[in-house]
Amino acid sequence: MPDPLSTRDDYYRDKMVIEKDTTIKISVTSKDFTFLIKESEECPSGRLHTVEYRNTFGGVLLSAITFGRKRKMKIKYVCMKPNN
Amino acid sequence: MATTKTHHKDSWDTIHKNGPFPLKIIQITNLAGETKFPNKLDRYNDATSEIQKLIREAKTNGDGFRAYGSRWSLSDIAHQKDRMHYNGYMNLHIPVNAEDQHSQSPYDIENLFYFQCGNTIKEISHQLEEHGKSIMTSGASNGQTIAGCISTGVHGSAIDVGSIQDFVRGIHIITGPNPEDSIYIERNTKPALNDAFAQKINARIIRNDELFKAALVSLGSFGFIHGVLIEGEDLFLLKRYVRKIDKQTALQLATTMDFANSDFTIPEEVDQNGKGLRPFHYKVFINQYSDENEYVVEFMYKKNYETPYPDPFPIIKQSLYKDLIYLFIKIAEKFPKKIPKLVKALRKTILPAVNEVTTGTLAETFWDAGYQGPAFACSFGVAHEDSERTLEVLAKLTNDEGPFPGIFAMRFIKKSEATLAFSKFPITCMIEIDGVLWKESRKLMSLEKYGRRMIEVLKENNIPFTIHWGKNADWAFPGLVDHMFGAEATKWMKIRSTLLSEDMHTLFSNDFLDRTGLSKREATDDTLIANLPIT
Ligand SMILES: Cc1cc2nc3c(=O)[nH]c(=O)nc-3n(C[C@H](O)[C@H](O)[C@H](O)COP(=O)(O)OP(=O)(O)OC[C@H]3O[C@@H](n4cnc5c(N)ncnc54)[C@H](O)[C@@H]3O)c2cc1C
Repeated sequence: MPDPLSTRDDYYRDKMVIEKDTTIKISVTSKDFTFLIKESEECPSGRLHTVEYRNTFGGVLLSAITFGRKRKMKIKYVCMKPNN
Repeated sequence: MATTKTHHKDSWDTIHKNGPFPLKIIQITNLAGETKFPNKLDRYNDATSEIQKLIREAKTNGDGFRAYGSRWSLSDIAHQKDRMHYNGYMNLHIPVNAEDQHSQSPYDIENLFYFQCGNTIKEISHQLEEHGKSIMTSGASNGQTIAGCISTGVHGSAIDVGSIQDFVRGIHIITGPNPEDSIYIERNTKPALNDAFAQKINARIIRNDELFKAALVSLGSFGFIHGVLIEGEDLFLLKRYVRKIDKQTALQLATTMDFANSDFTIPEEVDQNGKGLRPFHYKVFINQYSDENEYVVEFMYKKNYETPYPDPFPIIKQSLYKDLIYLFIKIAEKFPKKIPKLVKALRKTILPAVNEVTTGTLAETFWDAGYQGPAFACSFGVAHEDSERTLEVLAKLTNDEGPFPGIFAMRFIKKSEATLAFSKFPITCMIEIDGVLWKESRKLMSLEKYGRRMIEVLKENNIPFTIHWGKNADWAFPGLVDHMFGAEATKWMKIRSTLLSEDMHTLFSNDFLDRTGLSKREATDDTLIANLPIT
């Protein structure tokens, strides 16, 4: 999804970026998690173009303390333009 | 109804920060919702009315008006100091069917697709792929809009194909605020769609080869391009090989385009007599700061579309590159002498990996662009026979008066029919230097000056050349456009002057056009834009 009013200077210049700081709780038995992408004004197509995630340093520590059950993540994603 | 949001601004910039340039207003049009306008054609026609309304407003305020796409041009060709219109959300695809086809059309209707101006190359490829089709060529990546591409003449390195405008078969242009200012243009020798189609998009038809060719590469100044009819072809695969080959062999291929009699062949790509096949694409990468006697070259061969084929690109890319580039800029500015070393150190990220072989569709091969930071690109078109000589002259300048933070490449394009196409030679070699922007210092001249020096040395060496409209150059160089295009430029200005009323002629001009002298109003001649019989 393009963003003609974006003032970013990085890889995401001109892209509508959705950034989320989130903590994911994973029980000992579950191995993975799902992050659902909803349709919204910034993401009208509900379809993904690019995803980037980062483990923050704090997040790594948190994961160590909680034995990996709580993970702090920074997620950035860009959606596709809706089809017309 | 389509809605336009108006944002008051004081400046505008290109994606690669070649500005900033002053600006009053950015306008962004969103199409009418599908609920009220379920029919695509109605949404399209509604958008025509909206654009005409915006043109009327600009005129009333004595302002200029200019459409832009992804702002990927590095020159200020897309800039207008008053009102700029962002087209990216105008991305309808309007299917055309047998009932729309002209009875004398030489085209297969299955291959014709009508797109609104703001569709990107990526979106268009995606739509075509759903029909088992592909566009014929593209640039090195896919983020430009279709209207933006044809307006500057975007090319890849498809030696026997041409540029993006060369697969365009019809153009809908809005040249003013009145109903008669909505015009659908095609060739009179090769009509594609019928008069009834033009009526459907509320346009009057003009079939005229010369007008069509002038409007193909219109530098954003023939009006607002609302829709473009393109011809696709059956989906195909490109098998891509990256090799390091002897410099002389690479340059001989460039100057002769004789792949059959070259010393170099790719064993999988030879005929039954062991002679090299002619590739779809040939590109040479040149590090002008290195004395190595080999160049990295890229060959692509066209293959039938067959599945499965190995995934051509890694889904996950590491982002080390962008950080490195910023570091590069900093070092290059402070210590220009270090540039050659930096280029060498970065070659793994700048140059494709040697001995790599990939297979993919055209759309997969020319994928998303990476770096979006400050960058420059200068690109000269010369006859391919002159390519070696030109490279020598430009590389010498870059070494002697630089070094500048970029590297050269050569791509090759078949001649375009567009009046102002920079691909004007039978096979044009585009010699390009791409790199990161630097600040002028005592040690390193400015980009403007470097651009001027490049023109000067080409002239001194009597090498006929053109320049990519969307790239950096000394566009104010006296007599530049006349030197490059001569009578063709005058013809283009005459057609533009006749097509546009006097106030629209001013409204659709900009600094770029003034600087290059192309905004001059010539005597009008109605025969230039007459609707001609089909021949
Ligand atoms: C990462 C990158 C890679 C590139 N690779 C290549 C390449 O491989 N080959 C190549 O040839 N070029 C290349 N370029 C240059 C670029 O493709 C061209 O400059 C192209 O014209 C940009 O398209 P755009 O949609 O961004 O148009 P813009 O830059 O926004 O506008 C270009 C021109 O089109 C006009 N325009 C746009 N929409 C309309 C409309 N609806 N009606 C009338 N006029 C309109 C504008 O006024 C302007 O004059 C590259 C640039 C970048 C940044």
